[in-house]
Amino acid sequence: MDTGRVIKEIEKISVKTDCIHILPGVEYECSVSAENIRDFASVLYKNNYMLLYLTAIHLEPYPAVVYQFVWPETKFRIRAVVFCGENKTVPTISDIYNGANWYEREVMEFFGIDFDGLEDKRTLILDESDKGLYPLLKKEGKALDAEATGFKTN
Amino acid sequence: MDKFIENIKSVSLRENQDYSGQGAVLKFAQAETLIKHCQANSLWPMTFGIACCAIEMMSVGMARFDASRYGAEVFRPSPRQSDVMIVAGTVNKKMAETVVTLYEQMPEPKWVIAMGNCAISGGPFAIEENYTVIEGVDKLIPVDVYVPGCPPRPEALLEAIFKLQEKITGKRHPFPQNRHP
Repeated sequence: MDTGRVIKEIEKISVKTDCIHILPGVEYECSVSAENIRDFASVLYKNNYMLLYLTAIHLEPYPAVVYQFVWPETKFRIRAVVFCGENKTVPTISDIYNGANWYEREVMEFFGIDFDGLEDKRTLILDESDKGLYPLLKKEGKALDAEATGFKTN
Repeated sequence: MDKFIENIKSVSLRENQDYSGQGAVLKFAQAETLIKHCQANSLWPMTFGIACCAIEMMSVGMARFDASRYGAEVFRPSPRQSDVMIVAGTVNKKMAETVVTLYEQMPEPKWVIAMGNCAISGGPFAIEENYTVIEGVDKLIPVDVYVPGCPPRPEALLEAIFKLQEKITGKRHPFPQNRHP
């Protein structure tokens, strides 16, 4: 399978970024808007990419959800960053990638990011009494600025 | 054995009239000493390891450190058969309920050893950003012996068992201390 073809397909719905925090091993990094993330995931799912992880990062002005996909044959990795906007909501991809379900629940309780369309919204890791705690959000004024770190916030 | 029975028989009511003290009206001092001696030498711990300190606890039970020399190797699978709960590891909010339930299911008399810094005070988790770790298991259940270390050496846990025996019987038992192989 041709990775160039996949990149051409996802370039239509994403913006390539040159992040200063780029990790060794991430071959392609892009910024996706919240409306396009479901199309983005569908394209990669059709091309046999698997979801490696899904997490979040607290930046100013908005927290971002980070998806990493990998094509198992050549270990070609694609990292997508989605800024969740003012309402702190991102559409779920758990109906495209079933494995995203637990990751999204984890992000939901650690960062307070709501996933639109996620069916199961029970707490996964934290105690029931910790609802609304969001322990991985930074303190006031401690979060880095998104533009300064190289992300494009759309 | 005959001497033990004689000792128990020799405890008469007339000689030990102590109605002023608290607790039982009838006191059988010799029998209680005997029972406490038996309890101290058959401390059955519960099979209960929460975190990495449990690895050291396992090695205490194995042949190299051999807690069976002191009667404390019979790790029981049920709290209803256990005397000692060795809290070996970090207790977090979700685990706290289970720890208390297990403690309450143990029959009297029961003792608790808090093993490792996490169980004593939260250890490395006792920081400002901590949101889920209980800082010290003594906030939940009463603790008899604390074993510091991260994790403690197996010898330290053996020493804790000696301390517990000392607490139960009132004296440190003169066990034969075999030299370490």
